[in-house]
Amino acid sequence: MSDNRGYQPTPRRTYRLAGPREIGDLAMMPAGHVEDLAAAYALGALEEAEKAGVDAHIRVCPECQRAVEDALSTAGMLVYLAPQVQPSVASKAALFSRVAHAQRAAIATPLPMTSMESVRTPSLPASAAKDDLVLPTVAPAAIAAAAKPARQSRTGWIMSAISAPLLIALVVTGMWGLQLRDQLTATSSQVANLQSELTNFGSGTTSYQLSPGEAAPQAEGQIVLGADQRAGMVQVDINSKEGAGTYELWTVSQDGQLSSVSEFTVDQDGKGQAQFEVAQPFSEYESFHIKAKSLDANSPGDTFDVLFQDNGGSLGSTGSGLDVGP
Amino acid sequence: MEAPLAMPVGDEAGFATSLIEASDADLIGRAAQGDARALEVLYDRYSGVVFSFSLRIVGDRQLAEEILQEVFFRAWQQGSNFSAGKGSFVTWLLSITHNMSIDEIRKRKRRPQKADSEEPEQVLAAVPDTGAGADVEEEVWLGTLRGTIGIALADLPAAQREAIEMAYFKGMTQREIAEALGEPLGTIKTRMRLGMQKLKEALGSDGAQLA
Repeated sequence: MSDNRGYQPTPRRTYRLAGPREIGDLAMMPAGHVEDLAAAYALGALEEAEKAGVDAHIRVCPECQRAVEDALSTAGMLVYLAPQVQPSVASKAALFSRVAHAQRAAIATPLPMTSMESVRTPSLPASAAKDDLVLPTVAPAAIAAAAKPARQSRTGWIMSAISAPLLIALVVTGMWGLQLRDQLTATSSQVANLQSELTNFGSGTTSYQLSPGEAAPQAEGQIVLGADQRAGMVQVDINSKEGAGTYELWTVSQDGQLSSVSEFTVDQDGKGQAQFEVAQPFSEYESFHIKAKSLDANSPGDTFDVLFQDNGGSLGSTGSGLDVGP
Repeated sequence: MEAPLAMPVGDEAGFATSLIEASDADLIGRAAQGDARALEVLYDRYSGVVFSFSLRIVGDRQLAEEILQEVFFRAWQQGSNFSAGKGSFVTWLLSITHNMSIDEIRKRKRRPQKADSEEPEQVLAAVPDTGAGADVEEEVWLGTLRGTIGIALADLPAAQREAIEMAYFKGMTQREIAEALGEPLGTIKTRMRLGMQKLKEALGSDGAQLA
């Protein structure tokens, strides 16, 4: 079947054909404009050498760069052919755990002073008061840079010998800078500890489905817990447009102590989520409850308000739904 | 609307709103400076599209979730490389997604396959379409867009459509497609180029909206 009916051919682009002695990858390298390769480039259909050739060319040729961007934009539309499927909430928790871990690792690694920036890092809502601190952390690019070992010049020792007096002078006059650095290191250590407290999802997350209470039997929800069982994310879908409002996650300890550990908003479509942090491993609690926020700040409310309740010690893949409210 | 990861300092509600309303370019700029909340907003906007796209290519939910995490982690690490003048953020993000997903299926091709391995289409057929998120308006828009793209693709000559799909969703190079179909390489190159050109013409206005 002919596939070019009605097609007006575009003027030929300039290519240098590989000579007979050129073999392998070299023969695939485009030598002139690469506009005609833009479609295949955008579809990921070029061989590595061809792709590298296009990459190199578009860095210096705005015309071909535009052609490639156009093709990428068109190819990008094909993305939307796929049925829309939502990822699990565990993916989000794992990603941000990894981001926080990378930031912690970068802080724990001594960095050049110039790489440090005053940028706040992710923390948990339950610890908002601590979050008033401006945490010194590092930009992602600086994290990547810190991972690369510094190169040493072969003649470094000669330079060191020559510049020794200068270095001594710098050391003496740089005491103030070193003191600052010590302070920064100490602060970084505190920050690392704080972040460790705040963001402790760990690498192995566990997901639990929640059993709905009587107030909203149609509701669904899940809790994703970090490896140490002290931090996690709660996600609910009330499956009702009448459920919008503020909700709280409460824990009940073995000795009956009630604590509100997180507060979150359920939107007009009945969906809401929040992170939380608890003082002891989650399984050590007597029970937990998710409920509409009560006017009485010291009480988890009556059972009518309870959206979910479950026994912390018997969390399973399906949830136990035990009625252990206070 | 989802709660932000962190409580902002000062005017919390206003701050969260400003992040949610910020442009993609602003958000990736902030994320590149280490602001994980900006990354979270981007994640909330595009995780569904990235995940669906990756799942369409690799046909394995767990693998697609891993790719999703890696895509956003890389976006966070390499956000400073993004230039708004060189195309939209979503194009850049989906380009990373495509490259990573294709790399995965190429790796898989080099490994022996289980006899009962399923094609991505079969896997997707078993996955319910859960919509793009809570925003009904967005779901409607995406549904319309999907219909438009589906029609544009269906209008292509079958041979051009086949070449495009084999390349984009199966990670095959032009050479591999030519070998698989028993056609000259030049023919495959022409089909691909013409097919993309027609697709661009058919999707012109919608493409401009996304870009």
